[in-house]
Amino acid sequence: MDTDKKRSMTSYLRSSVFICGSLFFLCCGCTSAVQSGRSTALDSVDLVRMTDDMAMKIVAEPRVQAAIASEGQLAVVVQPVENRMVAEVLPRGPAQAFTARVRVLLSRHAKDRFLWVMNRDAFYDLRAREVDMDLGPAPERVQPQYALTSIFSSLTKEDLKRRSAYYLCEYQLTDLSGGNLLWSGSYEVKKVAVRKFLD
Amino acid sequence: MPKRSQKTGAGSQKEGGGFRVSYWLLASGLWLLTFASGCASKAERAAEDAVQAYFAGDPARAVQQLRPLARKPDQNFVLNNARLGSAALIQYDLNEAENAFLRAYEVLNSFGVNNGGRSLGAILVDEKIRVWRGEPFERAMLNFYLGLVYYMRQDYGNARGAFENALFKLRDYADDADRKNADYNEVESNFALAAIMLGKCWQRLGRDDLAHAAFDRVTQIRSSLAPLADYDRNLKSNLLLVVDFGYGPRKVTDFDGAIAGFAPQPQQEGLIPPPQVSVDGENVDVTGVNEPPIDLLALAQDRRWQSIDTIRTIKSVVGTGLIWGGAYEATRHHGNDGTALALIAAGLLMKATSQADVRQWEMLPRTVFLLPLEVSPGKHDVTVDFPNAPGLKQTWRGLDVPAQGEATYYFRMQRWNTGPFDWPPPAVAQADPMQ
Repeated sequence: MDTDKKRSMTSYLRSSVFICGSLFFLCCGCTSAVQSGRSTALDSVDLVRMTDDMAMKIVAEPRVQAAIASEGQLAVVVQPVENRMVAEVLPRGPAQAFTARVRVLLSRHAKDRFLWVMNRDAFYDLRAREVDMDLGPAPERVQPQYALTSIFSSLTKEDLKRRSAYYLCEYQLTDLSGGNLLWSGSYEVKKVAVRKFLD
Repeated sequence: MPKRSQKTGAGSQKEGGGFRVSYWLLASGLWLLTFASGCASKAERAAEDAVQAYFAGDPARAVQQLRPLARKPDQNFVLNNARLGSAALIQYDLNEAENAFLRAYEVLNSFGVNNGGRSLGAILVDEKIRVWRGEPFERAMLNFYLGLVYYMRQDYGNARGAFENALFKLRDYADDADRKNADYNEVESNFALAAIMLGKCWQRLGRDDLAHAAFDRVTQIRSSLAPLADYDRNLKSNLLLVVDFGYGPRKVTDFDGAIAGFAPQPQQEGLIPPPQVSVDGENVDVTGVNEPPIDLLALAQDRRWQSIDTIRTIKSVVGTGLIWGGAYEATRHHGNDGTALALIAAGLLMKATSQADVRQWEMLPRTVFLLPLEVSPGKHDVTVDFPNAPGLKQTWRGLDVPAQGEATYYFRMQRWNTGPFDWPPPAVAQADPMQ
């Protein structure tokens, strides 16, 4: 009788452990809303790859080297990325990060070759915020000779099965006095995200 | 004659087995129900309070309550961010609105968000375990509002991207005929709202060719919107009023809570009344442009049947069958109590876990009016009024209208939100002390 009771208790306990265990695994299997998803947006891996590549190409460009040899340090202003991507948003922070990282890499590895000038809007915004009186125009501001700009374009498609995006990210170093292009480089990548159950 | 209470040895063994099964089912049912309903928690109650505050004309309290909820990446992450964006937009807190809509946009643009435990949980336990991604019209509206925030900030590149994405999201309504037509014209025609704004963005970006193409497409699809999609009218406009009117569809359930649908039908609510606009007390002629570009009540009726709907319905039908089976077993002359209990418990469990997910973005309007106006530059008092909907009126004093470009103002028509309000509102004044 005792053995039967024990056996039935053990059986109940096993069932309970199984149920609790299943629930535990079910709960643990629930990732957060931002963990599991896969999108076609440009991400931090692209940021690093793209900017590493661009920084190396700028320094290695013979025309850039020739300009440095003739003019000395190049005064360059950096602009945020211009978003021409189809159905993609590029907020201000990431738009700045994609060109700012090129600047950071160049100022670290080729600091004697480039002089980085703050862009005009950011400069006046900063002055307006930090100085109590209106100082008006600032002719003493270092005038940039070159502008590092970037345009991101994409061909994006979305249907009931997937979303795909082919990106072309162009970087340009332009002479502000004459408008001639000193250097241009590009980064291309294609991304596909496939719909899953419950998408 | 053996009676139900008289236990034979075999019967006892059988019953023991029946009780074991019933114990198992009851225990799992209890756990699953606790798990499912216990999560209708403090956070969900706080979100409900915030929604109530929004409807009561207190968006500040709604923002305050939604802010911490919108940071939690749980199953309501997208929904709470959408709600927060709506409440912040009323207050012209464009930073908060942008961040909230952007967080939701990123998840909505991702696939496989519900992989793993969430999909299984949604099937077995409760559909609310899955990360809410809304219906296609809700996804499209979220992209529209994100685009609107950028448009208000005159960031036309990003606004264009968001409006294009809004049109993509409507493709989920596509049927076979639409899919063969790669342009998805048919489904996108239901969202003229984003198409018009897309045309305006191209115009501001200096791409006249694409602006003409976008406006022409709107006119071809819905000729009644021709005045609103008029290229010259939009080019001359230096004041754009974006007016949210009414409330969107409510998600309702049928068939023991297993089937979800939307109510009311547009015909139940009647026609959308046209707005009237006055600037500095003078009526402005908005004939033609006061046509509603969208009716979300109509759009929601296109709800697509999904696999999860089939699963839920089957669970509900099987659950009903099990309960009836259990009831029959219990009343049968030679019936077994344990088996009957087990069947009823299993049936109840199936029914309890087959409830449709009725989470929705409650703040959505029924329609959004776009009113491009040309007024003299300077400060103006602007009133939007709906004479056919008594009590719906909103006034803003001192709205800035530029000589060049276009200033955009958002009006959320609510009975408890009539104003008059002074421009700039606190959020704008804080963000730009020069105003």
